Amino acid sequence: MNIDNARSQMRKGMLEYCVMLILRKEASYTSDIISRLKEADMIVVEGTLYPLLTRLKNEGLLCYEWRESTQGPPRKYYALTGAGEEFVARLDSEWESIRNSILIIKEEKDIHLEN
Amino acid sequence: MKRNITVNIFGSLYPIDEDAYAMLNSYIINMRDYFSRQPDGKEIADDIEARVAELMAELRKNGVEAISIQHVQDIIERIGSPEQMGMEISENIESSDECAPDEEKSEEKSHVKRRLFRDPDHRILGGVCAGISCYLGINPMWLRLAAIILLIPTYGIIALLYIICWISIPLAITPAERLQMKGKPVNVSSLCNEFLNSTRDMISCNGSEGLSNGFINAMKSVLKGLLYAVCILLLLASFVAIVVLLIGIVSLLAAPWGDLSNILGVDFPLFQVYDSNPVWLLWVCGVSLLILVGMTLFLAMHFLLHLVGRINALSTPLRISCVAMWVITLIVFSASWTKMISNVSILHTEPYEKRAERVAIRNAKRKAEKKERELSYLRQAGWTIERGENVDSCFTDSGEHFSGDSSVRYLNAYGEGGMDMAYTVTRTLKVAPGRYIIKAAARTNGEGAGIFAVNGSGKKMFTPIPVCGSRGGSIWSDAKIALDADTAKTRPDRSYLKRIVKANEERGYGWSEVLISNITVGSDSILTYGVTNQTPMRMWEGTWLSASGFELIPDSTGK
Repeated sequence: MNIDNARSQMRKGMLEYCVMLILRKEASYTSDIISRLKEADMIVVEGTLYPLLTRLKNEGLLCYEWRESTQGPPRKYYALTGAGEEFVARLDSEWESIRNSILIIKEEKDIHLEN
Repeated sequence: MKRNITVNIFGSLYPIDEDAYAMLNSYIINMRDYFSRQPDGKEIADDIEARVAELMAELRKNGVEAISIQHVQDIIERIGSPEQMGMEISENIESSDECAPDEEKSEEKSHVKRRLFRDPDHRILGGVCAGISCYLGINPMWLRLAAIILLIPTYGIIALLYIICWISIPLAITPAERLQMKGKPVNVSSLCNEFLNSTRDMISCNGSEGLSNGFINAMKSVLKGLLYAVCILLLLASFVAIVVLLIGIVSLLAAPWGDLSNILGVDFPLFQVYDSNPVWLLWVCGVSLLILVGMTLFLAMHFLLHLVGRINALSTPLRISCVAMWVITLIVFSASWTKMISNVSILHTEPYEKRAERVAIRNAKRKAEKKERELSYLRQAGWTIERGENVDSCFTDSGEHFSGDSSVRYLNAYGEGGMDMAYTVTRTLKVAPGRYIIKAAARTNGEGAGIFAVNGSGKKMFTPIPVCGSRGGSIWSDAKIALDADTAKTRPDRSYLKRIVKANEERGYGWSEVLISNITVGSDSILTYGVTNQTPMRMWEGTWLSASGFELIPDSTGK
């Protein structure tokens, strides 16, 4: 079994939710989002984030503005839109239900093992 | 010691080693190339390039004076190869399994199955030879030499094959594809090595412009020009040839050449093709040619646009199936074409008199065959031909039936000489004794024809066919009246009547209903009926007659 592959599949699904959670807390630069994700060990390859951000922006869930940087080029400053807020709220409940499902299945399995 | 240059990324300047610059440059070019395949690619690529600049700015802040190749390698590892980025977001699990970035596993497997790509780094024209030799693990020069030598004895088919390969084999664009081409595992370290190697190649190429290099380059450009010329000529020639053939075949299939040359008594060249080949062969040839032209145009246009960079290449399975279909159609077309031409050339070697004789024999044979077919049809339907002198047609016909159905066969006689024609067709049945009525539909253009019935004791009854020619007729006019009277549109046979009225552009074909009543069949149960132009009442004055729809109805109306 390839645990790495399974892990990356699971995380891939969660990445979108994580990015939106970070932005719900506060609007951020891309580099900030990356460092937050790295802290949480949610991302291995940084480049993954850019296609995702562009997609979410095109879907109208995110918006950004350019801000000057003290060093280096101007940077994109991302924030959630109204639709984005609603979407995260929906994802919250989705996440709860997934967590519940996993718990239920796990407990069932435990009961079977005990018997 | 290394040369150092300055790069400008989004308006900020960064000092960078030359080899590091080459590596970074190829990374960014590859990355842009990769993302250019998707709609938002430009924006994503810009973001990533900005991130590269940001990381470089960070390095500068930390006191790095010149960015070295190690720094670039770190940056690339952090951001990841285009394949890894695309893979992370792609929904396709299969492809992610194929190139998952688990380094340990790939490093264990030092040798991965090679994939066939066109090699952009060592190419002369399309990189086909380089790619194939890389796949086979041989020196590409041998393959090129073999291809050029084979060009003459194969009449340039090799060039065609080359173009097919050019279209169907994808180019190794990204470093990952280049690694797969060479059979190396795809992971971060190997990708970085690939960058490094291609960079060094580039630098060494630029650095030492020796005599031998110059000679090879000159040879390359000459070879390239030559191959381009051959390919373009070949494409043009095949295009023109195909268009000419297409026009020929279409006019051949569309025109009634057979009839025309019978009328004019001249053998057209195209008629010779038509005459000496079975129809299915003409169709196979024509249809395969059409597909061939369509596919060639499509593939050539697509290929050219792709070369110019206007559109993306077709997906590999689609491309392979396209090319496979093209090759199959080409084979089918050339086989059928060769067969067709050889049939015609057999015809051409014949002297004129012999050909005329052969055509006459063939026409007579066709006529006899048709007559035989008609006779057997009549026999099957229970009809007997008693008289058939000077009948030019084949006793039956189709196309002008009163119901408007052009496939229905009816009894028919047509005599060129008119008065000399004798036509009597009968049918004998065993029926229960009793009284009967015979109903039939018939038409003629002259007096003297009728339907008749004879019972076992020889009593003959006639009813003449009304003379209406080939227009109108009582069946048609009755149907018209009935249809007009049916204002409530309730008649169950409405659609049938409509068809009759519509026949012959609403003019009818001249059919009338003809009845013989009071036919008595005796205890011998024999009844014969039919149609004839030899009636005892009148001399035949017409030139043709038709009859159909004979019905025997028991007559229950009093004795």
